[in-house]
Parts: sequence; C-alpha cells; structure tokens
Amino acid sequence: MRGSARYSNHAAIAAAVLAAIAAGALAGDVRDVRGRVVDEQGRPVAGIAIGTHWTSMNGAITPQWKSDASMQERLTIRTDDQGRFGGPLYFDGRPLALVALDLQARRGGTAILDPAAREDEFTLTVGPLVRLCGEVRIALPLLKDNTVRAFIFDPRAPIAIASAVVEGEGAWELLLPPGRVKLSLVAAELERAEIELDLAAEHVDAGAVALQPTALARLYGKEPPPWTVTEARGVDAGVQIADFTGKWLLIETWSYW
Amino acid sequence: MDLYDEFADLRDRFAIVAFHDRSAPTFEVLDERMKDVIEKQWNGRELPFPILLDSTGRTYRNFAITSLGTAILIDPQGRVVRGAGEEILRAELEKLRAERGR
Repeated sequence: MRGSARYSNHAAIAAAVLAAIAAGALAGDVRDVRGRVVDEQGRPVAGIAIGTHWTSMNGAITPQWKSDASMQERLTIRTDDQGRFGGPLYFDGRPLALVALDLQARRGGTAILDPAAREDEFTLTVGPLVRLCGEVRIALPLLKDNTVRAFIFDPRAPIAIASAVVEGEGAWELLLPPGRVKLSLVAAELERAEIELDLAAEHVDAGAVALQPTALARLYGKEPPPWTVTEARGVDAGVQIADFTGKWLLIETWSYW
Repeated sequence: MDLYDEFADLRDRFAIVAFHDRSAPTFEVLDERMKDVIEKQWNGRELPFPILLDSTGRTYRNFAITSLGTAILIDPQGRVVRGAGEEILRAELEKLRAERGR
C-alpha cells in the first residue's frame, strides 16, 4: 500500500500551537491511570510494556512513559499477571495515546485516553503487529546530512506514539499496532511530509518520500529576500539587509508567548 | 547578547539585530511584556543591539522561520549562510580576532 505525500504548512502549525498555548488550552496535570491489557480473546496479557511514545534507534525499540511535564522522570510500565498496569501519567489537556507492544510475540494495541473522562480503569486490546517501512530521500544533495525523524501519530491524539531516526537518506522500519496512522517526516532543513496510512496488513510500505528543502534552506548561499520593518529601535526603520554588506549580520528571531 | 559583548572589539565587522515576530506588533506591546524579563533575567539591562518589528508577519513568512530561536546569518557578501548562525559567527569572529592579533 502506498500513501500520497501531502506537504503541510509549518507556519500555520506553529501559529496554531502558539494560539492554543496562549488560550491556556494546554494546561497540564498528572493523573494516576489504571488499565488492563487483554488479547483479542479477552484473556489478560502479562509482562507487556506500555508507553506514551515508542522510539526506535539502532534496531532497539523502547517505550517512554511521560509522568511529568518535563519528561525528567522515566518509568517503565509493564502489566502484572492479571494484565493490569498503572502509574502517574502527564496530560497536557489533549487526548493521549497509550501503546502496548510485545515485540517477541509480535502483538500490540493502542488506547486513547480522553483527559475529560474519569474512568477508573480502561481496557487495551492487543492484536498482531504491523511492520511499517519506508524510505527517506532528500531532494537537495547539500542537505543529505540532515537527521530525519519519522513520527507516527494516531489520528485521534496529537502526540506521536512512535518515532524512528534516519541519518540522511535511507530506509526505516517500525513495528506498530494495527489501525489508521499518520506518518510525519521531519528534519531541520526540510519541509515536513505527511502521509496517512491504514495499517491493515502484516506489512505496509509507505514508499520512498523525497523531502524538499525549506524556503530558508533554499536561500543558502543566496541573497535573502527583503525584510519588512514596521517599527525599529536602535536603527532607522528604513534599514535594509543590503545596508549591512561588508559585515556579518546575525538576525536573531524572537517571540513572546 | 554574550556574543555582542564578547566581541566588542570587532563591532565594525559584524552586526546583530533582534527581529521580533508579529506577536509584538508595536514597541508599546513589547515593552510591557519585556518589563519582567529585563528586570528579573537580564539584571535590568535592555538588549544592546537594534530591535526590529514587523506587524505584517511578512518577514517571518519570507524567511520561512518556523522554529523560534532560529538565527539567520548573512555573510559580508550578503548571502545566507547555512547552519547554526550564532556558532558560525562566533567561529568567524574568532578567526578575525586571530588575524588582527598577528
């Protein structure tokens, strides 16, 4: 199965995030959650690890469990003999996905926790895992040393459930629970590419995605576009970038939120 | 700010400007917000280099600035330099200083 690439607008996302923070929508809190993991026949699954985000590096897939806002404290949460698990979990005010993975038995599942719901215990059902693979290509040779992160999102929750790292161009692979996901390929100097995929087969190929340089990266080695200054302090508001020719000019970007 | 102070002897070779995004459309808004930061974090000191505002947001769009804290470095020939602006500028200024010292 192959998805089609869709390029999102970074600026719009950043603006939306800032607006959400300004509105206080992301007020976070830590809450104790309790759950139970069962297989497709409803039998408890013991010893399975659960994380809010799974990272894949050098072939090792490890869970992270976000128990505070700073992510300083790292917990490893596993089910007991009855398939039960629990622990303090950080909510940022939005729905949160929990993913259980058993790489040996190749099964896993996802549950979405709604921060508004106050259920005592929820159930996470695991089924056969899906091997999702893909390939990163970089359109501009100069930028082939970028580190690219492949983030996987459950469409019901805004925080990625898993990620893999690709140094420059190359193949990547993740083992994931079945279901619909959004793949987001992100690198510092490259435009983000997003693909929606349905993990409904044992093996799903996201295909090769050629990442394009950001508008800023396209300016490397070239003259920058003119800036627009509506007010200035310490310099005349009519100042142009060209006025600094002959000197190094560092433009620090700055925001308040 | 550290870079600006550290290379005070090379001020004729470089300039730093702080370019604010449109979240502060005027100095009136910016000054009000910065009061606390200047007092508590910068020991009462204001930014020593020019501050530019763009209430239209056009500059950030044209430069495709998406992550705040990005520093864009322009070389003396007026071309955009790839990479972490502050670190590269520091290295270039250290080179210039070594040349002057000779």
